[in-house]
Amino acid sequence: MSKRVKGWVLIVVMTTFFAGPLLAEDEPSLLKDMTAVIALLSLPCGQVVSAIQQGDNDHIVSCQDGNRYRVFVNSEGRVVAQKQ
Amino acid sequence: MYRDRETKLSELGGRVSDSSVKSRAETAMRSVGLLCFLLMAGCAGLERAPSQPVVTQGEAVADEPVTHPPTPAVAVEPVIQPPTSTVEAEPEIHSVTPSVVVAEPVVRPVTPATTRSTEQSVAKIDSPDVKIPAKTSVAPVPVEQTRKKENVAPGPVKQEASLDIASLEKRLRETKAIGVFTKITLKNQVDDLLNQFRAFYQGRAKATLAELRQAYDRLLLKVLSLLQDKDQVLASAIVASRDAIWNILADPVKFSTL
Repeated sequence: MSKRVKGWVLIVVMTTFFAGPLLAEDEPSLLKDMTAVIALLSLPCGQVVSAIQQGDNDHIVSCQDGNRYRVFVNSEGRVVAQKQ
Repeated sequence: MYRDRETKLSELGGRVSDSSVKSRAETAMRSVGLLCFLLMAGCAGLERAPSQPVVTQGEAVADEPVTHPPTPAVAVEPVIQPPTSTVEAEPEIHSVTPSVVVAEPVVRPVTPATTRSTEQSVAKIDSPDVKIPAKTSVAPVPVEQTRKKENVAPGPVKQEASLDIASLEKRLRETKAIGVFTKITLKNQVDDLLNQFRAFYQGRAKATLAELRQAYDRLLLKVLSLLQDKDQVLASAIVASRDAIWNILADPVKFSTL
């Protein structure tokens, strides 16, 4: 195996190991934030298990009990959770 | 003869080169396998992370009975109340409004608020074992809580007994205990409550002051439940300012200055 290939393999491995956790670091806080929002809005959810960003301040969240909501900030500046 | 030897030698050379290639391939395969294993291990570690912190909100309420042994409550007043209700009611109140009692130890007229807090915590826990309202046992429990809390941390609560709405607002905005979306939602709900008060004073609302007080207490409990795990200092400051804020809201003259 040539040195270049070894170098590339090393780069890929290091990127995979360090970039992945760094990207995922915000995920728990976002999930917690979404859980709190849905609870504050008195909607059934339990716990948010995944959140997919759709746009700026716009997420589709999946709850532990199977409910899915679109959580976004509307034009009046209110946080809205629409059941999907 | 020479030709035969030459062919044998070339065959041997080919075998040797084949074996070296095979050994290299094997090492490469092993290293790839090791990498895959490590990656899978890393992913497994990541999947567990989100479930833990979110559970803490609900479990923090449920876990507190473990930290505070319920036996003293039973031992102090065994005659007045049945021991089971005392034991089960204590952790609920203690978890939601921990330092309310420290600000106002015994003379606490807002018993509905404490009972509501118990109901909220019960709703969060969703366990049938803790689901006993036990309103009769609510009154004596704070006395014990005051004893416990005074031993733990009486200092910071007393320091922040004075009301400073501006600094509280600033601290709420800057705290990292609450996410951005949650802060916006809370702000919306505060604005809604202020609009209700406005409508009440203008005579447009049908809600009574007692209902507004309930709404105010509910909103405060929501804020406290969000803060109490990660920003206890701010939570205790808000608890200490609870009645002072209510005095402003309940007074039309003071409210108009807001």
